[in-house]
Amino acid sequence: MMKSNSKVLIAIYFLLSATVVMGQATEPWVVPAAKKSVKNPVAVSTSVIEKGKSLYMANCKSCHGDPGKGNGLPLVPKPTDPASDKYQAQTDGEMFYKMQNGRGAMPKFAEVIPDNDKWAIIHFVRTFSKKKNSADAGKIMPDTLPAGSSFTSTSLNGKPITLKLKFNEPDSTLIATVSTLNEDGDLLPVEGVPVGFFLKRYFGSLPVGEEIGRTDKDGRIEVAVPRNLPGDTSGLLHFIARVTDPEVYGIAMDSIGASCGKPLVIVNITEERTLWGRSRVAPLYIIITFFGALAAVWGTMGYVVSNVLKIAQKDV
Amino acid sequence: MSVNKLSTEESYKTLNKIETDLLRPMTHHKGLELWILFLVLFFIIGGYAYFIQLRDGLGVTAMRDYTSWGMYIGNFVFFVAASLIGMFISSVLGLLKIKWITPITRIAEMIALAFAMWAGIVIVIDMGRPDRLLNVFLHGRFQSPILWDVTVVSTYVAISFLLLFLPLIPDAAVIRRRLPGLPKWQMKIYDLLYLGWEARPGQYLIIKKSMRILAILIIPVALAIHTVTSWLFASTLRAGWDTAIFGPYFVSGAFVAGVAAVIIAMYFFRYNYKLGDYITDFHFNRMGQVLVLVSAIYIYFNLNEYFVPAYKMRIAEKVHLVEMFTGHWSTLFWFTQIICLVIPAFLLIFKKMRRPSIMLWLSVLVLLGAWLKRFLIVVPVQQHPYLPIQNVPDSFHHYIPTGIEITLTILPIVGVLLIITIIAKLFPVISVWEVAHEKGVDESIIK
Amino acid sequence: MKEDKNLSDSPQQDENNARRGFLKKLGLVVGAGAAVTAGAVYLGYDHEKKKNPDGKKVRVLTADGQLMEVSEAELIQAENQTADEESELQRRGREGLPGKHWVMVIDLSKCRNARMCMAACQGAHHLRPEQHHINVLRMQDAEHTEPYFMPKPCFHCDNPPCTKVCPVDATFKRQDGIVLIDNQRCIGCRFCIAACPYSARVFNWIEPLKSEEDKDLPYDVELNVPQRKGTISKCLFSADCLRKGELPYCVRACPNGVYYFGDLNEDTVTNGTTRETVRFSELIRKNGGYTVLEELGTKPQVYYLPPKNRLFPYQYEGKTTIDPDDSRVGGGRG
Repeated sequence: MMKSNSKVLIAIYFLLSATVVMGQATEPWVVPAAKKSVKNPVAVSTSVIEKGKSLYMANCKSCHGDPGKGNGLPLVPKPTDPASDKYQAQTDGEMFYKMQNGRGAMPKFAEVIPDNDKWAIIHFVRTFSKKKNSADAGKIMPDTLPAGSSFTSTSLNGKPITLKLKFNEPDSTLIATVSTLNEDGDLLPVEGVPVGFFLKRYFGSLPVGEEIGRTDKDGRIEVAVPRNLPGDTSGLLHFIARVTDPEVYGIAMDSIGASCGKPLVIVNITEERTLWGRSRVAPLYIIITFFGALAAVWGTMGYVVSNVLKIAQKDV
Repeated sequence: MSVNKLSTEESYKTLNKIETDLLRPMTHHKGLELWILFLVLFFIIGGYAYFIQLRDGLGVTAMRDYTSWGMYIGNFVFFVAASLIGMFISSVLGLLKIKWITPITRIAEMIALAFAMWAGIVIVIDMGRPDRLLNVFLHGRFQSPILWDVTVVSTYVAISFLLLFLPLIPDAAVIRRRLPGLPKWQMKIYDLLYLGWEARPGQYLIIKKSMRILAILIIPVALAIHTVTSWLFASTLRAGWDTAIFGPYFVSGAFVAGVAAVIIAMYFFRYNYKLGDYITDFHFNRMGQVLVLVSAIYIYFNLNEYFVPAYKMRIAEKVHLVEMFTGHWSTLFWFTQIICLVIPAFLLIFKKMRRPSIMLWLSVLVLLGAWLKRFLIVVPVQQHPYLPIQNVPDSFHHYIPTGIEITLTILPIVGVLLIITIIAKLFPVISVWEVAHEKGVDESIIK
Repeated sequence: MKEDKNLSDSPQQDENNARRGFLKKLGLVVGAGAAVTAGAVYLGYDHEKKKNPDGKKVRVLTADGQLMEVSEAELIQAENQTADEESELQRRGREGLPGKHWVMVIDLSKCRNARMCMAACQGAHHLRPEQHHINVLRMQDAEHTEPYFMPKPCFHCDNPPCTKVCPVDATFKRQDGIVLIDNQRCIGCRFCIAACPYSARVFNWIEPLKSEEDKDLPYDVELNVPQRKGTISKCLFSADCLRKGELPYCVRACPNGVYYFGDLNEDTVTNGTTRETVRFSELIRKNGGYTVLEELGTKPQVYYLPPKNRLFPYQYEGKTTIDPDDSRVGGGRG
């Protein structure tokens, strides 16, 4: 019932909007040559791709669907799946131009998403390119590649990495250390691994810190924990740190509880005397007025009735 | 009592005439049976309408999510308003020692009791789940104006009951003496009510003192019922209801409705019950003046109620007011305000107009206007909430009462007439002992 | 006693007798009328209950495997279980989740009137198509301002005008801030509809959509299912989902990232579409969040982010402007 309802609604809504754009829809979308050849000025990195992904999810997914799944909305024309060959055949400049200007049901993002962010989306979309998987494999580099580092994305293949999370109380910082085992079974720090810090919340994980950073040469990364985070009744907060690019580095995460939050003071608002609460918590002035007036009026009436009944007495 | 005392012989003669005149309608009533039959027939129709409403839900009315209070609530406010007259005539005017009210106090009390009793039933008709009425007593919240309303209305019914039946004690004694041939069940009522009345000074003392206490007590209670009823609206945040003037505005309007209802009843009883010697042109003249007075007060409150927000025209209020002044409701609004309030009040300023026949029609207009005004207070405000009414069927935008709704609105009015008819059949509509007293009859013989 | 003479004359007496005879008949008519009325009322109640009137027998399997036939009226066991279940649902439903204070943020710049929220909500709560716990409104604040879509659930006010006026505690606010309905308690007076300045409440004017198939379900006060004729319903912030750690139905259904939902005590809200979790205070501060008609003092717990930088300009039924009759105050056409 629910499903068919929503389908009908979508259909009605989009048929309506589709009729408006139908005319232009059949014509090919021509991008000026100058714009077509524009190169993506933003350097690719995992954090850029992460950013592009979250921007895609927030702004593009509702029509284009999940890349590769073909679950975009049934508009006319249908929004292209970014993972499709047809889409990937475009140049970066074409993609950028189309995002910038929009057409028909495709909105104009020129002023809505900053240019660098649009390029980040293009970087994200390019991760679905089949070409990338062959020729460009391993091209995604860490943001900061230290001089002389021999790091490649494949160097960790087969070797599990571990992540240890600690809380440094005096500085109020979270410290994550990423390491791997060498042939002798010793722990070796791994540099350049992207690690995200999160605070466990009721419905999801709240990122701690502005951006996702990478481990330094000691395999360490730290992030400051804001001091005003509300915790549970004892101020306890549950933090999680994890490697944010598991496809490249493998899965590793750790969690820790730290009593660094603002303790929650539970106030049961339903126990306060209010006008909106239950009868039991009615404001005293209402209870006093109500029963006072009731007693006064009915008392007087009782007095009158008892008096009147005296009429029947012979001695009156 | 400033009236000259009559001699014993004159007293008997006068009392005899009063008793004969006032008790005659109890045994002489052409067409009463037909009238009761008519009322009962309507009751059966109304009962069937209510059965349908119970079976199918309140959806059989025109009320919907936005206009969720309709005619029923308007009717309720009207009933509470009309019931206030008992307090106005017998308490306010009585305590001011205004003598001419004596022959009309019982009529006012009858109207008050009948309307107050039915007000409660009107509310039950409006309930989506009348089977859960007891929840109000089991789970009542003292913060809710509805609980206050239930409390004050039932209290008012109780006081009105006492104020109606207390002065009936000596009259019951008179009926027992004068009409011993009445049916047994009827005589039982008088036996129960007369309380061994022998017109002893001590008995008079008790009855007069008690009536005085009740007359004072009923004033705050009566003000409370209509003020609390106005709070059902004024306690909300809706533009058009959210006004501090609602309490006195409703109370002043109630007096207009009540006085008009009493004038209609006076006319009816005067001619049908042949009480021309008791309910005289003088009484009509006086009641006409009272109607002018209460109407003037009400017009003054109307001016405040409409002019002040109209001067500012705040957006939410503007939408409502424009609909009232020039929009969808304007015909009904101006008919109610001008034809049913201002013009009757203006005409009654002139003595020539304060004749029973003219006053009857003016009062009918005023009473009709009083009902329509409650409708206009209740319904239009709800059609202009702060947020737009959208994505709902067209019927949610309008309010056109259905047949069942109209039937169930008339049903309680028929109920009021039935109660008044029964009381007027069982008891004299004018207090025998008080009128006799007024005319200087020796108190001790009224038994 | 001489005064009585004229009343006890014989013609008078006869007339009285005749009249009394008629009155007796009349009494019968009155009585019959009253009986018919009472009967009609009773029938109405009886119909309401819908308990099988014919004392039908049903077959049950006893613990030792025997097939028995029992009058259906005697089958109280199962009903008691439902009652137990219901009282447990009532208890926890009225108590709420301690230490929580739910809050919703609606990003108006994202709403495109997809109405998936409305559909999901109506499906979950078994509502008729015209009954909206959440309603996407077409709004325009002033003559020359841009129109926008505004999803409007119940605002779960911290100073709720609706629960103030309820005479029987059938609508109540619990400790986690949710304003709920108990349709087993509601008397259908509709004072709460009158009191709500946001038109958030709906009434079951007729038999609810799924009353027949839902009639054996234990009543869950957190879902308000089964719906009941003659009682109120409204947005419940999907209290049943929150208990399970899930976002509300509407929040999850939105394809456009309009809704954030979370716990004010945690200062955190999560987007139902992208699952992006952010600090509530920052989201509000950075985007100029506000509440609707806050001047009424109701303290709504649903916040809005203004409809700026919209990806999709306002468009409804092919028009990019809004019919003045359709917008803001007085959507009702009289």
